Amino acid sequence: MGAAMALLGVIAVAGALRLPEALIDEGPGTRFLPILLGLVMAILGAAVAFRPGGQARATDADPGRWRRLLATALAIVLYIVLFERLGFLATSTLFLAGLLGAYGERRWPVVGAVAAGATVLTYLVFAVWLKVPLP
Amino acid sequence: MTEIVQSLALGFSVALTPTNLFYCLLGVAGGTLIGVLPGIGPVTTVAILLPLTFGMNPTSALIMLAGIYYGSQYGGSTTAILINTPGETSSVMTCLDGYRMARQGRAGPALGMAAIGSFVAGTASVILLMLLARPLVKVALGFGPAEYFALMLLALCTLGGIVGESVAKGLLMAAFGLLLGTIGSDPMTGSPRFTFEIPSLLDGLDFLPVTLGLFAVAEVLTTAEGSLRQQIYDRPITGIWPTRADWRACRFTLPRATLIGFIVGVLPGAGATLASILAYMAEKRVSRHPERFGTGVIEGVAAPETANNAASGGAMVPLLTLGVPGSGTTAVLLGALMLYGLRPGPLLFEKNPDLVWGLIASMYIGNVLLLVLNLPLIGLWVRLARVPPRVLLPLILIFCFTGTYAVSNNVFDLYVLATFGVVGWALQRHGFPVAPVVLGLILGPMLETHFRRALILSRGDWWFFLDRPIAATLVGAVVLYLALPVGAWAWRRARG
Repeated sequence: MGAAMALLGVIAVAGALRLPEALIDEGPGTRFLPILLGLVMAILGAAVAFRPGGQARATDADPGRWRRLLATALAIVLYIVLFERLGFLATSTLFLAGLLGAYGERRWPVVGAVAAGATVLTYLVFAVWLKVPLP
Repeated sequence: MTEIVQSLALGFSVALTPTNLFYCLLGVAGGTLIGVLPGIGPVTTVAILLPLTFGMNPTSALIMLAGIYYGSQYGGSTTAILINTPGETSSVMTCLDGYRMARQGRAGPALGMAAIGSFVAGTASVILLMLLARPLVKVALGFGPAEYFALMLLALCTLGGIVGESVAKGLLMAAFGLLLGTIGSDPMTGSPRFTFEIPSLLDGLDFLPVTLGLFAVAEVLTTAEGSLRQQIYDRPITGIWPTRADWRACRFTLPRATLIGFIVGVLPGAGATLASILAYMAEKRVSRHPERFGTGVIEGVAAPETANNAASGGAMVPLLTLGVPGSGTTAVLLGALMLYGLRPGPLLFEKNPDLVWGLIASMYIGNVLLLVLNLPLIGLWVRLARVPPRVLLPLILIFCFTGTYAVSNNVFDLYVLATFGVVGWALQRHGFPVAPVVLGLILGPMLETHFRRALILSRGDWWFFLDRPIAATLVGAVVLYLALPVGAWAWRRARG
């Protein structure tokens, strides 16, 4: 991960160099801070990457782990993509029902109740009470 | 002194209107409710509930946010005591003795003492805030861009250095946040930076989707990795009120922890977490039976809980008087204020005294409400904490989506939310602290503006920062702070 950050730093510097150079009067210009930050990130990122003992945190190695992660990620992406097409109510209900199922909730009445109930409640709070326009 | 009393009277007249009382209550209740949920800490709670304040007038919104802030602190301690899951890092110390007490059947007094300690700390810190406000504002009015720059830099460095496993990681995250802050239009020339032809990026990344992504969504992803089962303390809770022996044990703990917490909270960058750790250790050190800490000692609960509330109050001091956040949570509050078009700082005290003092007055009220609300409602919070994660996680996501969309009405922000959710998950997996990123994002544009303005004022003279005494001191502090870990590392290497 440190390496990733260092890489990002290098990319940032490269990108920033393409920005307009500062005019003499106005002090450091547009590209100053991004270049500086990119350098800092590259240096610190390298420092972190080369340190011994920066292990990824262990989680309980549960078999369903990747399945749940992927399900969550997929659900999130689908939600965003479908959000404006299907509208808030439909997308949210589907999302909740789907994810509850993916997480192992097998009791259909509970899935239905939570999915529908939470969606309606959220709708009432945001769209009705706060008058937020939702698709 | 009379000036303070007058201001406070003004404040109460604002805070005691039915509307504002209602919002205070809503904030406190909402904050506790979300704060109780495991994995959702004060920063996340404030960020999640922030969209609810959209469309309100700024005073009421701020009052509600402050209520949420306090409430969430309390909610985190409930889960720490009952299910050994700190709601946030500042509740970690509470787990040590709190959970032990719960296992011994003494969950009630633990929760009760936590509530009372929080109340004492909260009230005391508001009093201190009130007393310190005027003098600090007077000092701050003399601040120029150089001072603000140095102060913000210090805040960023200290937060980056204290949170998380290593100073390097923390500072790296702070730099990352600052870099993210450069996305958008250059604050001084308006020329676009890193916008990749996306119109939504011209104003930069909105802090709310980034914060929610890094904190809430990342937390959901991390929890989804686990088994989604949890250890729940199942014995019924009886008798909230601490015993007389408990009171006697804690009689010095409360004032001590309050003081420690408040001072730590005021320092930019140090917040509730550090306060709770220091208070716990201090308590252990002065105790006659230090070996009993960790086995279920009531002081072990009272100290961290009192300290973290005091720190929350203390962190409001630099936020309101100087406009510089003292912690991750106050950074989000700053973001919220900016969303309403307000800039906290000495000018706010001058121009909107009713807002600031109304806020201070409602912080008193909020503390009272918290006490009144939470002692009887502990049963409700417990039941909420027991909601199984598999139900909770999707609900959190829905709330994040809706809240983000509510504030900006832009699907692009939902993509930002999702992206930073993944980024946050990856960062947390590798032990990188996420709070400095948010602080960097929020402070970045301001930091840059102050810096460049200072240089314009001095006509390019970089020594300008050291010419002015306050700025010089702050810059000196930053240099010292950064040099120490490097020095220590070099020293260790040299010794082999």
